[in-house]
Amino acid sequence: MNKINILDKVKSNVTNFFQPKGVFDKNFVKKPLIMYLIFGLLLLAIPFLQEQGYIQFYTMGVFGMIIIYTIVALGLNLLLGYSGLISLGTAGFIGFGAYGLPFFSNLLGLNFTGALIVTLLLSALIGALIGLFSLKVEGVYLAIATLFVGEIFLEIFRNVEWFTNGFSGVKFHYPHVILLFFQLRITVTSFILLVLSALIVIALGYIGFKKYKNKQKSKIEKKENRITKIKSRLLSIFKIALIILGLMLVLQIVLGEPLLTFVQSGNSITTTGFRGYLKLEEFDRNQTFRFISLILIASMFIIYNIVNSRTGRALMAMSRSEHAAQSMGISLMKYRLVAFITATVFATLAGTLYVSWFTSAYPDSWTLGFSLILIAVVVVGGYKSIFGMFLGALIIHGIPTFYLKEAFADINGLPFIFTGVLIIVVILFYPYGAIYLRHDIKRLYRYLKSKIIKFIHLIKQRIQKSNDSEVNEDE
Amino acid sequence: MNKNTILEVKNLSMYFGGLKAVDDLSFEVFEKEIVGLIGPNGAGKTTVFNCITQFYKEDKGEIWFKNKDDEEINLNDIKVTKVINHGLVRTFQNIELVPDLSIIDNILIGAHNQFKSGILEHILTLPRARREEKELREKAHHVLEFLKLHYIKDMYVAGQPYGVLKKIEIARALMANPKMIILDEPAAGLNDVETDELAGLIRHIRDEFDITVILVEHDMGFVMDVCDRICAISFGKFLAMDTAEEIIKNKAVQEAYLGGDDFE
Repeated sequence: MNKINILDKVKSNVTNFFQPKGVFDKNFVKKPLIMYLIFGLLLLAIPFLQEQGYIQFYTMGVFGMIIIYTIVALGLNLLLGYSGLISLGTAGFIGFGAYGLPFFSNLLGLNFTGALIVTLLLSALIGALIGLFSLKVEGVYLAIATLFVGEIFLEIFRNVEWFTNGFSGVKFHYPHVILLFFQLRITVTSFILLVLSALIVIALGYIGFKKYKNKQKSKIEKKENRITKIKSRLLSIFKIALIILGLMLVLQIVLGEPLLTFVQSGNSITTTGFRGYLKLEEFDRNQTFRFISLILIASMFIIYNIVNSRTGRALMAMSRSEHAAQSMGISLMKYRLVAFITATVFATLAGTLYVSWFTSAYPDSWTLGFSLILIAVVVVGGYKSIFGMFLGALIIHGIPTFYLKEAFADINGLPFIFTGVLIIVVILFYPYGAIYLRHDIKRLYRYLKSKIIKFIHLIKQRIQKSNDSEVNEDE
Repeated sequence: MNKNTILEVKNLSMYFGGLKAVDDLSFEVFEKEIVGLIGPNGAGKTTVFNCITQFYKEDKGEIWFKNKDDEEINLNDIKVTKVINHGLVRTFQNIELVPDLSIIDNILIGAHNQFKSGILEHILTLPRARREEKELREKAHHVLEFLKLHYIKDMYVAGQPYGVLKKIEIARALMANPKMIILDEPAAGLNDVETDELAGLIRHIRDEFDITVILVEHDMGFVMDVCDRICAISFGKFLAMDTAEEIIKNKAVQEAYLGGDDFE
């Protein structure tokens, strides 16, 4: 009985994997990871739209800020939404990222990636300290304690000039990141070739699947076992390759010289061996935007994977009942540390992106008000939701800066009053977050659809009737 | 410890300030037995459970437990989060489930320590992490099938009827491959039909998985029906431990429990 069930499952997995029609299937698109990819592609299109003049230079800047908000909110969500803990010091950590990146890249002479890693490690350390501290204090007391962590950071930003350059602020540049050892130059022809080859692969897969489907009936078990094996092997080889590349990247940072480089000359790519050197150019504005979008998508993946694994379940069990969690073997210390470290690392990451995107940072940005606004992003967007964070950032930062500022340009401060009212309305009608709007939109769509169908039906009937009566009159 | 003893509580004492919640209590539980712990309100039954599962570190006494590997261990030396690894798991008086997780995810919380993959493996969804998740999901499905809950496994816990919630708690405990389950008032809030069903279920669990069960319950009919032996305590003190028939006849129990009135 059980064996048959397992086989059925394996079978369905195999068919899902090999069914190319799945790409156009509704359920396939609805898979969260695919949705994040589609969302990422949409974000990557923004610089293109700006180049073509469809959106303004300024609007793209705001989108960058929204992405930065979203990354912070994703980390904070793990703390606030999933673990039921609170932190009012988030702005401090963003500030730490914004100052740490320029500081460490100047001090240690590291490139962007190296300084980024150092900053993130330090913030993880501070996050771990706060996590340990949170074991002793709860609720309001934790809020107060983290509030003062934020205030300490703010005072450091204002007064420790060798670190933050005081009120005059720090300057930075767009990042220059070593992306997989060589910069891919996508021309129109190469793009067309890429699309064509993708289509060919899909077509071949489809033909193969059809053949496979015809044959499989006779030797179901053998084939399925083999195919699942191949699939998992391919995936693991891919992942191992990624890990090796990552390790090489780290080595490259440590040594300051690339181990293996590819130099593009004309149409051919040649390796220059272990001692070659490829000078990397700084990103321009569009590339920086694409870079932070990619980091946002990566963050979404990471949070999704954490939340849907045993870690996420443990965090939720801990937030609901500490006693039950402990009796199930969930160590409070470990998971509080996980929650705090993730939140601080995400905040710091967002800070480093902030300073790379706006190329400057000033101490008065990192106040308590900013921390509270980030909590509002999580609450308005929706606890325990990943897309909700983007929606929350859009509502809280995007709408006032995009539309209202232009509409009410004459009266100072009015846009922000409007935002306040908007947030109150959202919380009143969607207490679990604006992400639940989609259910209402769906309902409205269905309602309208049924109404329209009824209406059409009614008109048809009327026409029928009038035709009938005309026929009668004729008689 | 005797050959077929699984749990031995020796001279257990627990004080809250001046209050003696548990006072020099000793009793023994044999393997594959269903034992009921009874006593009037405030007799210290839940405190005994909390001491056994190490939520409270007792002031005096020893608690010996024969764990999964047939080693005799003193539970006092073990951290509260490690008790489950030795095959001892409990449910709670008030339902302690996560309402905004699906039923099967709630049950997977019970398998928390059976995962060997770490958080980085989960972030990268490496093969081992995925395999473990799949296998344990399969197992959770079987546990739910055993409790006849598999048809609602993907529904949220919030909004489920009380009887189902109790069953989910038991399922979560079963998920941990326990040797002994401690049930804190399993029949509280259930109607008569559900109570009968629960009694059948507890016996079924004992027979199917060879699990020892200890339970606290106020529903006397249920306790008399389901338990092999009953341990009566009053004000933290041991009164008697015997089969249901003998406990009813026991004078000390009658006095403590019913204030001197006749039973029935």
